[in-house]
Amino acid sequence: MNLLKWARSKSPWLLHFNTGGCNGCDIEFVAAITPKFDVERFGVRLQGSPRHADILAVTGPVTMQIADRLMRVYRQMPEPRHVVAIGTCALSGAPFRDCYSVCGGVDTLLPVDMYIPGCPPKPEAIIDGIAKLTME
Amino acid sequence: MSDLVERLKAPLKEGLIDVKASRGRRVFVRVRRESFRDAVSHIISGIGVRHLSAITGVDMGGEIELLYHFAYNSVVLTLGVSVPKGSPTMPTVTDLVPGAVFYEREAHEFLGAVFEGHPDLSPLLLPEGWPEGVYPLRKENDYNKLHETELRKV
Repeated sequence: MNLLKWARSKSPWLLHFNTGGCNGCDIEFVAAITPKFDVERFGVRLQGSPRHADILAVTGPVTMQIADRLMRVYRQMPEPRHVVAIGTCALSGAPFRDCYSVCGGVDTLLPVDMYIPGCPPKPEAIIDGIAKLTME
Repeated sequence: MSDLVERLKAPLKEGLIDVKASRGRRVFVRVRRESFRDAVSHIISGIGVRHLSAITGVDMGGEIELLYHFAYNSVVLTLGVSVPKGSPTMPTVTDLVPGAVFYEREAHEFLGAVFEGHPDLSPLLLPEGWPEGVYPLRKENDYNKLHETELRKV
């Protein structure tokens, strides 16, 4: 593959965004960043700003309050950008899907490239999903 | 905890409607709205309960019942007050318990209970464009009605 694509797939920088979840998936995500699981071998780093990130990792069912903010963060990311939905709430809204103030899942608003199911997914599953995404 | 029950009954007399202690460590008290603030100040200063755990509410049809949950040693003491739904005004407890500000805001936006003397009753949890007057936890707002609630453009 060409050089640019190789470079991007070898250093995916992540931005984590919680859209109103219970923080279970956030804790597992943060656990995946710890040295025990060592995601730096994939080149994964956690960034604080959407301007620096390649991949947006979203947890939580998207509530109506945070929908505008999520779009704002997504639009600030430079292309090529990808979205990873972590946890059942981000996939489909899970038990909150039909709630009156929930949009229900990230794919109602954003194009999602990788879905990682689980409630919460194990850190190994999160790393597996992100690694598979970088291989494409 | 029968001594707790006795200590509750003494100063309130007719303001107290009912005291129930089904299990040893779960006491449920009902008071009238008029003697509600006396009851709370007696619980806090007289008995020495230091922790208001939560303020919840139930829509009972014609009235809204507000429940104030206190934690005292290992006893959970619940104070229940019924307010009529047509005029659901209640005195606030934020001067006695400053931590009650958030709970009263939540009860206001979900059940419509108005707390007189509250510093700021603005919405806390509902989305920003949520219309006024639609209280999601009231029984007449069922599932379909809430879904048809449109958010205003903010």
